[in-house]
Amino acid sequence: MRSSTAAAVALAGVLVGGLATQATAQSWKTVAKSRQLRGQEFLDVRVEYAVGRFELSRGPDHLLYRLDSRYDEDAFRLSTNYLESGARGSLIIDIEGEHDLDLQDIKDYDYEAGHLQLQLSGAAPVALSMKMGAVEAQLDLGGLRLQRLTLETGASDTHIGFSEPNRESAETCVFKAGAAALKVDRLGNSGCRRMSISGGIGEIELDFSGRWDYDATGSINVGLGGIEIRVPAELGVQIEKSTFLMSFDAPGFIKQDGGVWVSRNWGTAAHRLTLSVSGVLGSIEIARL
Amino acid sequence: MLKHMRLAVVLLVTGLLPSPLAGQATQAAGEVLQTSIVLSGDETSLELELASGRTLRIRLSDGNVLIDGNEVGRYIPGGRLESAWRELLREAGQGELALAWPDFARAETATPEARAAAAIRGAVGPLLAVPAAGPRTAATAEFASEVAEAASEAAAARATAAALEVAAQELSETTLSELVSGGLVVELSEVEGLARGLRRIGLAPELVRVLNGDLEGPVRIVIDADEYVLPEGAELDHRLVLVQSDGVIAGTVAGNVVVAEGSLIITPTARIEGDVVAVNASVQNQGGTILGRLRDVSHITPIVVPSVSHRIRIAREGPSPVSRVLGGLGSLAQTVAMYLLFAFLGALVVYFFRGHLEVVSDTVSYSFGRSFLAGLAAEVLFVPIGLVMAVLIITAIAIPFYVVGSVLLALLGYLAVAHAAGENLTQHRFPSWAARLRRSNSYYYVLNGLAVLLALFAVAAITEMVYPLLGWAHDLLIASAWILTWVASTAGVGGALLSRAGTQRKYARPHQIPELPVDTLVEELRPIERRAQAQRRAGEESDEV
Repeated sequence: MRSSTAAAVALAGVLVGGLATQATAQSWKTVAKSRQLRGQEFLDVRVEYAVGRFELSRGPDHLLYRLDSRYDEDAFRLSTNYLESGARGSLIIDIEGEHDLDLQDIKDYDYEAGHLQLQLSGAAPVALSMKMGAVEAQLDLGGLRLQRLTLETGASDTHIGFSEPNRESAETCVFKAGAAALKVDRLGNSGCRRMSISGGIGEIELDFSGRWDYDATGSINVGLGGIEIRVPAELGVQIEKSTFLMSFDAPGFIKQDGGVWVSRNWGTAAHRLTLSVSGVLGSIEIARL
Repeated sequence: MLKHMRLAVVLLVTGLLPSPLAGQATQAAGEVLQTSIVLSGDETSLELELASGRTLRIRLSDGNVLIDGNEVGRYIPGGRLESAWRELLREAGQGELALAWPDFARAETATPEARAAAAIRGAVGPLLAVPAAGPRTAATAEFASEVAEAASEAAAARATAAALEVAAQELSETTLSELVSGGLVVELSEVEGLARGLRRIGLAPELVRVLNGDLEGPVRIVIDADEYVLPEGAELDHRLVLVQSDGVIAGTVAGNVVVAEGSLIITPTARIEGDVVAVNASVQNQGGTILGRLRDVSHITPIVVPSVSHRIRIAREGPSPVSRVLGGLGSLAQTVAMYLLFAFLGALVVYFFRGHLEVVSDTVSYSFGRSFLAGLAAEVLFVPIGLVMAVLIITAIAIPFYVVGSVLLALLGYLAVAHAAGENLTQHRFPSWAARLRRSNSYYYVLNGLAVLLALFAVAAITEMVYPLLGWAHDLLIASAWILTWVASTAGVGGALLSRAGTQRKYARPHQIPELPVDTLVEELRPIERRAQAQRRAGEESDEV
């Protein structure tokens, strides 16, 4: 992990308000759970994770979910609850700090040794809601039947990918990053019709490649930092820019009135992406793939 | 003590496991819906939630192997069984339990561990025979379920038998008095440890309290009975506890009767000389005599044994009077130390930057509201400005200077407020110009102002010594002292900013030499002159002598 990210992670430890005893006193506990898919037609997943590494991916279809968590039981408390109502399941995973924060504890805490790995079935539609504190997250949401996605991060290094097309059409995808580095790959596979991406301080990298068989709209907002956007050449793209002290670089785009920029194929493209970009200080770079 | 532990084991065994004595079909059905694994330094556990709703729990802890809370054998910590078990759970956590199971099933164990290993294999193995996944027809699913149920029953029976074997070996001091339809009656000579056992099987705290309050003497416990009858004319000099049982009392019971999760009929011939306590149970009194009270504590939530909490609060008695006085003296000493420290810093500032200090002081004094608002704005913007500086590489290197500069500015501001306070205090306290002239220097102002600003802390330290009497005053004083400190610091910082660290007098009081009321001054100085003249004369006379 880069040093800047590590510093941000430490900062987020302050924000999440819970941590860790001395490194020497860490007492690791592993908890693993898995549940069979038995007729569930929908799974609502909510994850709150304070500090550590988080990985999410598609698992075997016959398992509704599988999680594997390792954490310091002196410093954190894990609660997992699965509830079922009819054919709808609800999975709540919460790993939060057990103690009040101590800066020395954060410094000493070996947060990289703790992890949460979650696998979800690709056979059941799923709504994902995740809140991360100081977390290094790797999320491959490809192949899931994702209907809704919400991700909030504190000071995280978050990498989200859609390696395969979403098998559902997602209503909304919301990404909120605090002091964080957020990278999203192959957003075209996400099937998200409406996207909202916001960041406080940090770098946001959005790759809109993937399978586009739909139109989408999105808003991107960042306080301080840079936004790098890559869009496939065949996609019609319109960008409405509302920025202050932000450089804007969009080669190949045509400027229109009212701070609007469009790709040359905007009028002819089979599918279109409309983005509203706003920010205070930093840079915006748009590149065509 | 050992005996009581054994009794608890008996209770747990009979209370929790699907007992073959009960003659009831076990509820376990083979299909595993959910697998939960916990691995930590001193404990490992596996929990299987079955389709029937039953949950199988296996735990290895402190050398004991527990199945559904009942000890079924022992293991050697770090030995073969524990190693194989941990490996099983590790692999199962990453993949599927059924795939990892054969290795565990074949693993060799030490002789003392054989019984525990057999119990685990007997409990889990048959459950994993069921195909874990994949679409199935209703017929095959039903067949598989039946097979699994049968296998599960056999496994449960084996586990129970193993557990009962352990219990029976340790039951020499307990009378297994009789078997009743579908259940078991146990006579206990003492019940210390019973509360713990009942608590572990999830009975209500009130029930536990009832029993805890009456530890002397024997008790008869009926567990899992379809129908337990105390016939007419029979006399029981024990207390009677029915757990998950249906009972009929027609005879006499000398003590309390507790019925938990079951039913009780009290016939007209019955006589109960204590209380009747129902916990999630129905009690029907058909005219029997109850000398005590009939109490229903069903509304009480069954105990959920809490996990180890790090937030246990221990109620402590307040400090002794001596420690309170010492604490107050300590606080007073801290305040004095703070005064001396600020006085030293103030003296340095007066010596080297007197002009700047006076301008800041005048700014605060003359434009207090404006200074306070400016200071407030500075406090609000302090962090955002720092963040902006951190993001921009060029300014990031200036962050240390920014922080140090802010601290110095705050210090200058605080001392300036002390200066202003001291100056104003002098003007009010000494209306006499002569007295004021004698005290008109910045050292005096700063020292007096600091005394004013820290006075509340000193008074609070004194009230701390008599906290029981003036606790409210102490809290109020401490709060006031901090508020005063904050207001002074904020206004000081604002004054320092407005005056550009004391270099500009834009918001300061106009710098003008006051017009001295000469007549008054001469009048005031006259007695002093007279005294001086008298002393001079006296000196001359003595010289002459």
